[in-house]
Amino acid sequence: MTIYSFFIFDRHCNCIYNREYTHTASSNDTLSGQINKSNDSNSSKLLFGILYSLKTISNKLANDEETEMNELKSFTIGSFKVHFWESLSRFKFVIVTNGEVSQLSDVLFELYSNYFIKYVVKNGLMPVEFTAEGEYSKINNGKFIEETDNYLQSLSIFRS
Amino acid sequence: MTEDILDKQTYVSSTSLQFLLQELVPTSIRVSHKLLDPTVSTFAEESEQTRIDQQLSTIKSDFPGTVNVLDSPLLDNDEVTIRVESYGYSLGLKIAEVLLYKSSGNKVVDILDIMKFVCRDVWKCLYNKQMDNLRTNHRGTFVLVDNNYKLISSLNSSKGMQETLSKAKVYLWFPCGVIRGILMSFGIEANVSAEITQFPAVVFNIHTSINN
Repeated sequence: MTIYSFFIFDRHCNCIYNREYTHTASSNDTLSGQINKSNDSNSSKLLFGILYSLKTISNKLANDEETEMNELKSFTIGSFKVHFWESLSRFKFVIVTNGEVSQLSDVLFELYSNYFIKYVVKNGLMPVEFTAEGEYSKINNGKFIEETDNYLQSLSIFRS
Repeated sequence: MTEDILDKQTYVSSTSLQFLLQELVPTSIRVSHKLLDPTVSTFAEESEQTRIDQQLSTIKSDFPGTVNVLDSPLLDNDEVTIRVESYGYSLGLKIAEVLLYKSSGNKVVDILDIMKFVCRDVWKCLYNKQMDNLRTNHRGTFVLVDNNYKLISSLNSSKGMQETLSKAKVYLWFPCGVIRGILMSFGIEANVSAEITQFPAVVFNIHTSINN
């Protein structure tokens, strides 16, 4: 099982955090991979688009008013699986793993409630309204990056 | 009296207080920016409801939910620091009266007791913890230490620790004012300064003319 990447999109449809994990045989202890390099890439935009569409479809499919709200939790493409969770304030948390990882709702909620709230929202030097470009368009503070890396790395599904 | 006045208080969420105090410095910058701008007519303004797309000041891109106002050159301007300190001073004067009512059983007889009052009762009220250390040279100088000062501990800048420190420093004028206000309510003139020794630990240096 493997975690490949971690995305956060804000309510303005911008990718505000992008973390890619590179897994090689020699990198057992040190984390490698890029941080906030693919926020504006086509793959990030496409990922947001497909999540938006699937979320809309899942709501449409449950048009019977007696049915509970239909929530998008994950979808699989070949050997990859995309896990999705959205806050009521419309911050979207996404983790891309391999197909064997069953579900990550608790992990995504933990990333929001314990890390995003603590190191972004409660941080007086970070915005909650991100700009489209520039210094305040991404989550770049060391604490958030370090702590979320430690958390994801501690999970058994990170690389096994 | 059968009821303690403080026990009737509705408690403020510590997170709400934290967010409110975080607005101290941005608001002081906005007010100082406005007062220093000669082109602005400060009294003719119509009050308008704040919206997500409405600028909070004429500082560039100063919208709700953003923090770039802290990049203003006014950040460490005297206008701003004196304003932040005076807010703390006013609060210190009032909070001492309320807390003294609560702890009227404890005798406060000399300046060391007053410093302990600051370390215990005041800090407990504002930050839900006591100060970690109190030292004195018995010649009017006191050193108060908070190893994890709540007002700045959650600050973390994208540009690294140096940027975090330079912005956190402005917030320290508020507790300096609080301490000075409390001492004044006891009739003691003091000079209070603060420094970040190892983030987020803060040392408060208090100089008075009273030997004990």
